[in-house]
Amino acid sequence: MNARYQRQLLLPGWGPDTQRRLSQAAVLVIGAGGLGCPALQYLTAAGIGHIGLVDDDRVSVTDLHRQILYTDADLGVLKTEAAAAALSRLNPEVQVRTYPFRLTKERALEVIGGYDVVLDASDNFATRYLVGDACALLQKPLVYGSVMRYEGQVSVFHKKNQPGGAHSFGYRDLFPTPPAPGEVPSCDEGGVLGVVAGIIGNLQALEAIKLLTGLGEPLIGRLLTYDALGQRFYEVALTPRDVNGPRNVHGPQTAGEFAAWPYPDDECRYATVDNATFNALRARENVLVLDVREPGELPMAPFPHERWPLSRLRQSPDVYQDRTIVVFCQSGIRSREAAALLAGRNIVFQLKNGMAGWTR
Amino acid sequence: MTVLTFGRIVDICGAGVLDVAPQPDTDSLEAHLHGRYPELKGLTYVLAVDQKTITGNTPLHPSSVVAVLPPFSGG
Repeated sequence: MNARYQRQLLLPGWGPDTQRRLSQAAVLVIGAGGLGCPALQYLTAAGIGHIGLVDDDRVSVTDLHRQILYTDADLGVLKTEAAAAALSRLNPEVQVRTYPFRLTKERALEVIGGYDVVLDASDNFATRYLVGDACALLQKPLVYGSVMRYEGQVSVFHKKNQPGGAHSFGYRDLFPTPPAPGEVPSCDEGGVLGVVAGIIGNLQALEAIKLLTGLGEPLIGRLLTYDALGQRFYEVALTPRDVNGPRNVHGPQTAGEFAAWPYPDDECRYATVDNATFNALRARENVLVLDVREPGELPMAPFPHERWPLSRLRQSPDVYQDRTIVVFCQSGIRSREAAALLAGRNIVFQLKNGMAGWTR
Repeated sequence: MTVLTFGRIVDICGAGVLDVAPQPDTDSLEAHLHGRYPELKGLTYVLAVDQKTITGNTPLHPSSVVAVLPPFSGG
């Protein structure tokens, strides 16, 4: 057997068959951010055979404190691309497949269907409910992790049609319906300590390995919460919700209902970037730098760019297609509208505070 | 009885561990907490009584420990 795994092959309960099981396993990680990066590192190092990676975002300078697969050289690069490169350096035996798009209900069942275990390492409720429901429909085990500030949550959900009426648990058995938009701060708004995301992401990787090897007791039917400042774990057992309860609490029960389910698309389809990321993007090839101010507005941007004023963009929003575009205006207000107009057909970034806040 | 808070609910209640006058059941406890911390009204959370989540009104004892657990989305 491969010397790479010698130390884990020495573990009690871990033999060549255990390692073979991992090498034949396929794990899907949804989100290559603060949770996904550490989880991916350990899953890859442990010798998971096939790793799928879903993320539509690019590396921003504000990600680097916690998204430890990335370096300054990756700024502006697709996270799937940068992560896949880092992971194949870490363990070339692992096959990494990338899905550089936001998971939607159109693709979710098809993508998730190809994997043995799914890790929810996403950063928004729309994706979490989508993934929770897709895994419940497909009866796939789902390793859930989430963080806020100095706290985290981990659990394992696995909906099964079991004979004898044994209970099985999905995300909606814990949190039946999404909170109102804006109710729960995201990491962008509330902040997060990198090492806390690292701890929760590692616990997710551990649960995935336990599920795949059959070792130990997975966190099925249990929610583990972590308080970093108090350095405490608190565990609660889940109570299954009544299957005959309200429809919205129970989630979609068929692929047809799933396809018609109103998942909120509350996230922007473009990214807002700071100066450092803006400058890194500008330096890249094949990136269109676009000024959407009206003709004659000063100061002129002292770097190569094209001009297409917002007033004209409103008339012809499909003027650009299949481009990577970084939009700016004077203060970052008009560029938001422009970014929203362009986002359907392009990969779009907008400079946060416009030319007024720009520095070299 | 003891109430444990998590996430943003710690900020709203001002502490991670609250000492609350004994309540007969979780519905009364929620009404009591909403009176004391109006910002809790309308927030999304699940309650766990003695480390088990509940799906409806549940009787409480003076020694019960109730956790108020909001969902997190961050990753």
